[in-house]
Amino acid sequence: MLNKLNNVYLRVFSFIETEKPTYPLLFFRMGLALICIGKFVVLYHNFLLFYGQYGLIQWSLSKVENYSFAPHIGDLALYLSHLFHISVDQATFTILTIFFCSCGCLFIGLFTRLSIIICFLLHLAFVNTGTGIVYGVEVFTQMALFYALFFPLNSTWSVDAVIGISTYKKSSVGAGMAIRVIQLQMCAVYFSSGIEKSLGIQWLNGEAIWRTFMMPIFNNYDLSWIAFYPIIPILMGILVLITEIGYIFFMWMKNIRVFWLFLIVSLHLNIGIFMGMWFFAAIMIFLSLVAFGADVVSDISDYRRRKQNLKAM
Amino acid sequence: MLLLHFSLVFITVSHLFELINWNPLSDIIGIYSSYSYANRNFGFFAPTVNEDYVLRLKTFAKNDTTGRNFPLYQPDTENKIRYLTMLWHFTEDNSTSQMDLYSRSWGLYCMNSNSTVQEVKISLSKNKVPSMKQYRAGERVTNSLYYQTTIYAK
Repeated sequence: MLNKLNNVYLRVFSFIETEKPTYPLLFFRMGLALICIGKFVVLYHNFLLFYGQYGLIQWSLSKVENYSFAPHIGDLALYLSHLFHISVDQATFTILTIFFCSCGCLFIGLFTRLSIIICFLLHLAFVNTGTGIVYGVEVFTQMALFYALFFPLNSTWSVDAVIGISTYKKSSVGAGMAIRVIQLQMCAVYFSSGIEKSLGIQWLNGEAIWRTFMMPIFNNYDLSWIAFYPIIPILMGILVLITEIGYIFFMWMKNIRVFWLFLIVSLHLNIGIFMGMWFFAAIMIFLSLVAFGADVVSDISDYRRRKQNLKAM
Repeated sequence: MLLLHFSLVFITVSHLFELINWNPLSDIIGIYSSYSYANRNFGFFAPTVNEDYVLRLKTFAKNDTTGRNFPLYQPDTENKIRYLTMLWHFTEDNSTSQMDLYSRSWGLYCMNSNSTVQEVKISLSKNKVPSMKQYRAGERVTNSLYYQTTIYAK
C-alpha cells in the first residue's frame, strides 16, 4: 500500500517537475506584455470615462465594491497628485504611462522581475478601479500576470540575460513547471466552463448561439436566416461543449492535441469575428498556445520525422 | 504550494465552496481570488446567454424641456463590450440599491462633463431576442423599459 502511494507520488512529482525548453516562456512574456499594452491603447481615448475619478463608475463606488486593502488607481493617483502637485487626471495618466513602461520592459526582458511586479500591481489596480467593466479579458490577463510573478521569465532570451542579471537556459525544470501550471489551469477553465454551459438547455438546443448572433450589440452580420436551419446552431452549440469539455482529455493525447488546439483556436477566432471580442479571443488563444503550443510543435516535427523515415525506407 | 493553489481553484470552479458553506473558507477564496484571478467561475455565457441592454442618458439644462441625448462612448467594438459589461453588472442580482448607485454615478458624470446640466434622465431598456421558433413565427427583437430614474443637481 505504502509502495503504491509512493509510486503515485513519484509519478505526480515527475509529471510536474519536468524539464522543458524555455522558448514558450519567451512567447508568454512578450505576448502578455503586448496584450497588456494593446488593451489600454484601444481604451486610450475613453480612458478617463472608464478609469477616471469621475468616470462612469466613480472611484468612491469602485472602492466600496472591493476589499479595502486591494490596490486601486484612486489611492495611487491621489498620492501622486499631492506629491507632484498635478491634477488627479494627470496623475491617472502618469500611472498609465508607468504601466506602459513596465510592459515595455517586460517585453524585452529588462529588469523582468521588477517590471512584472509593477505590471501585476498596476493591472490589478486598473481591474479594481474599473470593476464595473471587467470581463473575461481582464480575468485572464490578471491570472497570467499572477502566474508570471513566479515564472522564470528572464531565463530565456532577455536583456537581463545579456547584461548578466540572469543566466540564459535553453531548457529548465522551472520552465517545465511553469508550462505544467498553465496547462492545468487551462484544463480547469475549459472543463468547468463546458460543464456549466451544458447544465443549461440553451447550449444544447442552439438558442445560445442564436441569441448571441441576434443580440443587437453583437450583431456584426445578419445571421437571422439560421432560424430557418436550426440544425446549424444546434451543432455549433454542441461542438462548443465538446471542444471545451474535451480539452482536459484530448490536449494530453499526442497527435490528437493538434486537432484540439485547432478547434480551440477556431472557437475563439469565431468569438472575435461574430462578437467583436478580439482581445478576449487573443488572450484565450495565447494561453492555449503557451500551454500546449510547444507540445503540438514537437508532435508535428515527430510526425514529419516519421514520414521522412518511412520514405527513406 | 501548487497543491494548495489548485485546491482553491478546484473548490471554486466546482462550486464546492457553496456546498461547504463555511465563512472562513469563502473569505480565503475571495481574498485569494481577488489577487490571483485563477480561482474564478469561468462559465462565461453559462448556463444561459446574458441579456442585451441599451442605456440612454438625456440631459436637461435649466428651463430646458426637450433635453439632449448624451453620447457615452466612441462606438468601437472593444468599448462596446466594456459598456455592455457595465450594464450586466448594473442588472446583476436585480439589486435596486446597486442600480441606484450606478445611475447616480452616470448622472454625476454627465453633470461633470457639462456644468449647465441640471437634470439627467436615465433609461435602461432590455432587448428581448425571440427564440428561433418565435422568429420563424414572425416575432422580432423587441425593446422594453427595464429601469428609469432622474438625477437632479442640488
